[in-house]
Amino acid sequence: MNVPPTVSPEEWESARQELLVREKELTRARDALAAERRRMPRMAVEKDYRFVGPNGEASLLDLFDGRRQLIVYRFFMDPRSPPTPGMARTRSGPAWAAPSWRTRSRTPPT
Amino acid sequence: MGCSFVADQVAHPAHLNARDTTLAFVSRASQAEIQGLKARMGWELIPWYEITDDFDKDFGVDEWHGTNAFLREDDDRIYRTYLIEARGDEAMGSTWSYLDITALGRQEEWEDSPEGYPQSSRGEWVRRHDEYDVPAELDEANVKAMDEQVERYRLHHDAGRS
Repeated sequence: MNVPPTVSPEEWESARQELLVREKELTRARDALAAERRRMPRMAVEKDYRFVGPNGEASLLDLFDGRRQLIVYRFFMDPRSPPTPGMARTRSGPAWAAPSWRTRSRTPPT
Repeated sequence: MGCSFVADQVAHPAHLNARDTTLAFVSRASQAEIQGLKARMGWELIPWYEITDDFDKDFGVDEWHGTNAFLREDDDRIYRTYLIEARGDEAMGSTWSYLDITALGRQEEWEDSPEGYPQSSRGEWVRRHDEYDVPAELDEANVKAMDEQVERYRLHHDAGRS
């Protein structure tokens, strides 16, 4: 393994300060991007989507739980790691696993 | 681990809730299938739902994991405001990364937001996750301590340090 050089505290600090300039640029660019995001147009949700939650059927409105904003993360399970120890699994994985995990035909997007 | 990795490294939802924002997880797994994993991992704080229709297809998350942001108006009409996926989605999990993809942002005054957006001063609203509901008089000391901390941070920051 080709490791970077070991230097004195002064040289290390100077190298950090050099990189910090670009890190700050990145932070400011991220803030600017977030500001643009807050000006993105929005899209009305017209369909009445239904979910099953811990307390039974739920609408998209129910998912808000009375709050103004909702963040919805969609997840898949990796069949290599069964949800509970000893849970039976097929070679192709459970039906609700990500298609790529089932078929191995696709690598994660970058 | 698959994409339930996010659940294993996500911030306490009380912080998002304090900004009037709910975090929910959805998948094709049934409640029965998910219950064992939730209990084993202690992931009881975030509500998990089973998708029963075209929600995943309609919102671009039927092939791979992704995070959609929605906004509800006073008349209960719902709007989709953002989708983040792939490498962008991998950065999700912290309170700040989640708030940054919402329509209202972090809701702090320093942000460049459209006129009339809800905003409070930087860090003023932040508490420990079990301290958001404490009565105002007890909360006062917390706010004062936080203000001092924010001021120290500002001085440090203005001095050109990180």
